[in-house]
Amino acid sequence: MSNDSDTNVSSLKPKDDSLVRVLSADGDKIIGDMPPLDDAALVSLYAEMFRSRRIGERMVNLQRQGRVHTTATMAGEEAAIVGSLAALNISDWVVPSYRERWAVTRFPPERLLPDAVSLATQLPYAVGLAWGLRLKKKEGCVLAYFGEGSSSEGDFYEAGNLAGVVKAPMVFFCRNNGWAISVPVSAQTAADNFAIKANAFGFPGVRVDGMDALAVWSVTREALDRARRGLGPTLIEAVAYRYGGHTTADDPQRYRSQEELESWQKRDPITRFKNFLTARNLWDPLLEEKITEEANAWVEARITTPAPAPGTIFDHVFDELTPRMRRQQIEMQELIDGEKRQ
Amino acid sequence: MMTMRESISLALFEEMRRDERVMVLGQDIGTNGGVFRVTDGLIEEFGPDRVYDTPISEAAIIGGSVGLAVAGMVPVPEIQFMGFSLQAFHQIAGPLSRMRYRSRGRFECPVTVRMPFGGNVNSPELHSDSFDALYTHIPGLKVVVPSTAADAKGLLAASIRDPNPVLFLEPLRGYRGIRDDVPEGDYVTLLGKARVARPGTDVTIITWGYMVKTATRAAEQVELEDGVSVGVLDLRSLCPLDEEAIAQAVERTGRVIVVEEAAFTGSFAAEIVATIQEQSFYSLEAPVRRVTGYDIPMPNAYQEHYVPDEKRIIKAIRETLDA
Repeated sequence: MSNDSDTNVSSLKPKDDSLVRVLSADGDKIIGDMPPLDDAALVSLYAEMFRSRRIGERMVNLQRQGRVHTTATMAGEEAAIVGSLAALNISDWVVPSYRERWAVTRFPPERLLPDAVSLATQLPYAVGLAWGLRLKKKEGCVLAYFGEGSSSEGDFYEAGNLAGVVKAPMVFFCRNNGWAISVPVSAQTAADNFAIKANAFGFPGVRVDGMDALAVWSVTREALDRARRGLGPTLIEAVAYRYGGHTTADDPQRYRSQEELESWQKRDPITRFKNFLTARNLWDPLLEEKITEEANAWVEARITTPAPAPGTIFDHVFDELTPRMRRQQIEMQELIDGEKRQ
Repeated sequence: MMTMRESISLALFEEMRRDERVMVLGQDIGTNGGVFRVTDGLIEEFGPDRVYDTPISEAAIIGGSVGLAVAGMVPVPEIQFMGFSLQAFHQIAGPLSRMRYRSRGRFECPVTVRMPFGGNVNSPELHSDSFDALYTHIPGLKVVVPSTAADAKGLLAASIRDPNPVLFLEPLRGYRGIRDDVPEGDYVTLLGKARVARPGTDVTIITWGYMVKTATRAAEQVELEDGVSVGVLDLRSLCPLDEEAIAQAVERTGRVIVVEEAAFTGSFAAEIVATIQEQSFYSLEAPVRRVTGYDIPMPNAYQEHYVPDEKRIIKAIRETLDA
C-alpha cells in the first residue's frame, strides 16, 4: 500500500458510474430521480445539515478553550447523516456510532441507542434490535451507522451475516469518509468498495454520493421500504469525506494533503444544497442566521446545565446497587463531603 | 430426583411458558436440542422464533441478545462452551454489561447467558476451561453458578427474571453428575445469597459450582479419618457476593480454604481471600489457603491432576489445621 497522497486521492475519488446521485456537482441541477419531498422538507434538510455543522464548529471552539472534552465533528458528512435520518418513519430506531452525535440531538431518546465507542460493536445489537422488533410485531426498522474503517472489524461480518439470516428489518449505513483516523480506504480494504461486502451476506449493497442529501434520502428510503416489506437488510455505502480530524485530538495534516481536502470541499454537501434551494427559489437569506442562533443557544444550554452529583456515577450499573457498590459509593461521597468542609 | 441437566431444562420450559418474551438462541439449541440436550424439546413446544438456531457467531449471539432485549424480549443465549465465550468477550464486557449504564437506565438488558464450564469430562481445552474471574472483574454483570439441581432451577429462574445481564455458569460435570430433589412448580432462589452446603466448626471450605460436591466429599472423608468438623459454603453467586455469609463462616471456624477450578493467579478465589482479610482478619487462626487449577492453559490430558480433587483439598485441610 502506498502512502503517497496522490494515490490516495485517486483511490478515494467517487466513481461516477457507480454512485447514486440526484444533484449535480454544483447542486444547481437535478441529474437523477428527484425524491418526493415537499418544499418544507427540502428546507428542513438544509436546516439540519447546517445546524449539525454549526454545533460541531461551536464544540470544537469550546474544546480549544478547554471548556468541553474531546469532540468529533461530522463536517463533510452532513448529507450522509442528515439525509438518511430524514428518511426514517416515526416508529424507526437509530443505532449510532459517535460521528452522528450532533445530528441526533433532537431524535426521540426512547428510540436512540447510546453512541458506540468500540468500533462496530453496535452492529450486532442493531441486528438484535431489528430482529426483536419483528418478533414483538412492533412497527419500525433500525438504521445503524458505522464508518468504513469499522467494516474491518469482526463484528461487522458477524452482524451482517446474522442480519441476512434473520432478515432483520434494518439498514447498515456505512459512512465512507475516506479516512479511519490516519488510515486511508486503500489500506483498509482490498475490495473495490464497501457496498459489495453485502454480497457475502446475501442482501443488496448500494453506493451513493454521500455529499448529496437527496440521493442519500432516496436510497435510505428505498432500503427502509424494503425492510418494512419483510425483505431484510440493505447495506448503504455513502461516499463522503471527513473534513476535520478524527476528533479534536487528531491532526490530519500529519497524514493527508490540503489539496485532497479541497478537492472534496468542491462538492460540499451544504453549499451544494444551498445552490439547489436557490435554483428552486426556496432560499431564505435569514435561515442561516436563525439556525446559528438556535444552535449556539442549544450548545450554551448543554454546557451550562449543572452536572449531576458525582455519586450518580454509581447509578444504572444494575437496577439497584450491590452491597459492595453501595459501600464504595458512600466511601467516595464521604471523601467529597470531607473536602468540601475543609 | 433429577440431574442438573434436567432441572435446567425444566426451568427453561417453565420460564418460557410463564413469559412469552423469553426466548433461547445459540448454536445447535433448536432441532438438535443442544449438544448436551439441555434445550431438547423446546423448539417443538415454542417454535423456531423463540428457539433459534444461530450461525456459529458468538459475538452476534451476545450482541444480538442485547438488541433483542432492548426491543423487549428476554433472551437466554447459550454459548456452547465457556471457552468460546472469548469470541464474544468484547460484546459481554462491552454492550451487554454497559447498555443500561451508558443509556443512563433508558434501556435494560435482561439477558441470561448460559454457558457450561469446567474440566474432568474428557473434553479438550476450551471445552473445559473456567473463566469465572474474567467476568466477575467486569462491572455490570451478575455471575451465578449453581451447584445442585434444585439451585440450578431456582437460580436460573431468578436470573431470567432479573432485569440485569446474568452469566449463568453451568458446571459441565454436573449435567449428569449432580442429582438431587428439585422443588416442583414456581421456584425462585434469590441471587446473592450463599448456602451452607455442609455445616462445620473447625474449617470452612468456600467454593462454588461442581467444586461444592468435591469439597463436600473431601470434608466427609477428613471428618471420618481425622475427626475434624469441616463446613462447606456454596457461594451460588459470585456477583453479587454474599460477604455476610463469608464473614459468618470465617468467624465460626477461623480457618478457611477457597477452592476454584480456574488457574491460580488472578482467580476469583484470590478475591475471596482478599475479602476475608479485609473484613475478618482478626477472626483468622491460620492463613487462608487456595486450592485451584495451575497457571497453565487447561491441558488436554491429565485434567484430573489440574482440577482440584478430594486429595488436594484434604491435604490443604490438614495443613490449615496444622498451621
